[in-house]
Amino acid sequence: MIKGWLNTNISPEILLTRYIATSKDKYLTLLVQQFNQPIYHYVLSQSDKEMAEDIIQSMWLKVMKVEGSHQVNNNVKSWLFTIARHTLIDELRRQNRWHTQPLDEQVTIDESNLLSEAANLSLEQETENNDRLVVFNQAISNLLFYQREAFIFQQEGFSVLQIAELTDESFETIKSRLRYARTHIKNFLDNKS
Amino acid sequence: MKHQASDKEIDALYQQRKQQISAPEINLSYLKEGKKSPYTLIQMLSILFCGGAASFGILAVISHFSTMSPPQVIQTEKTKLNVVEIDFEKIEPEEPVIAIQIPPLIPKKPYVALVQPKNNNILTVKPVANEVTLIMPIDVVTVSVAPSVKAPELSLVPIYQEQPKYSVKAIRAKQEGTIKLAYEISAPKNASKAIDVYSRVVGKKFTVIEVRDMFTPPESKNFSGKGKSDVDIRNGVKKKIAKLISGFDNKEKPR
Repeated sequence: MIKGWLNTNISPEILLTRYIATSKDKYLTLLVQQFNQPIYHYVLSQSDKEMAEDIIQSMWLKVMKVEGSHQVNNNVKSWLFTIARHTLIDELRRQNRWHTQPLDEQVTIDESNLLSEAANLSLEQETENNDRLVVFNQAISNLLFYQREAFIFQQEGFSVLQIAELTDESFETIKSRLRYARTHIKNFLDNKS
Repeated sequence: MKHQASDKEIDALYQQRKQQISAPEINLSYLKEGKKSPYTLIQMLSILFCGGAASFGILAVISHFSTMSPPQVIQTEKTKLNVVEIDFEKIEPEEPVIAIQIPPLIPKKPYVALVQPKNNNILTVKPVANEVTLIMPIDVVTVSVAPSVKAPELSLVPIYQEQPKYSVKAIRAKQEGTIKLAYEISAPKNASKAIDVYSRVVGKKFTVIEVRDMFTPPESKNFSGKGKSDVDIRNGVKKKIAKLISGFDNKEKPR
């Protein structure tokens, strides 16, 4: 028991199970500490700041309303991202900002367009964009919704199969989205450098 | 010289990007409060007030309909109402109650105690052999307790009067009559007077022969009252009259 007190890195599955059993805030606080930052980053990457804050509040409220452990997947992290994703899509649909895209899209970012855009940047902007991070952020923002989503999930540690389950897509679709996303980012970074 | 972006650089840039973002703090207590009660205090009070008012109104309506007078019947042309007044029997005054006079209670009998003389010197002992005689003066108080009883005044009233026995037919015909006995000892000597007497008694006119037969035995047919005592004559008259009365049923009515 003492070992459990000292060990702060308790698995999220145990934390969520204990929270459902006891309804004590300390377990949920630990969960928030672990996953609030990556989930907020994902939501913010897919929307704006205000909407991201609302969505993150709604997501944790849904977590608090969970009463049975049967509703929770074995992978709590995947379950939390799924909730955040559904809440995000619902909010985008509610605000008429949701643009559907075909699942088998093979749309690639027109690199020539990106290069032209980069060429059109002013001198000052070019100097600012020298920072690799800024270029990286710009490259991510230029990604399409599903490609950006797949890339972020991969960076958060999900496997291709887990991303496919999380997004309810096929394995190959996720693979292609990841490939195109990485290609785009690399090209963007290379061109900027 | 171009810089080739590698996966490691991308991962590092992603971590830098993520660290630059500061996530908002999640206030779990605020979220729980919102979860607990969806209504504010004012809303709860207004709901309670409205519920109380609604229940009061329902009870008021129920009590109003429970005490409402019966609806009046409006007389139309088709319906005609006949008003019938019921004559209730007049309440007759009760008969005066006659109070029975209860005789006064018998006064309590006073306690009679023997009064012992104060002077004990009266006791005298006679030295008679084996005999002791005590002479004690006793004052006896006599009190008359029983009230004076008077004899009741009796008034004898006949309650039964024997009526003559009529035959069934005479009773059905409601025939009645009064018989007066009147006779004269010397009547047989005077036939006309005897006829008159019996006619007045019976209400029927007799012939001379009939009167003669009344007093004459059937053997002799001699109308003579000599040698007969008054008792005999009286009995004879009674018999004849009784015979005549019993013969009313078979004969004509007396005129």
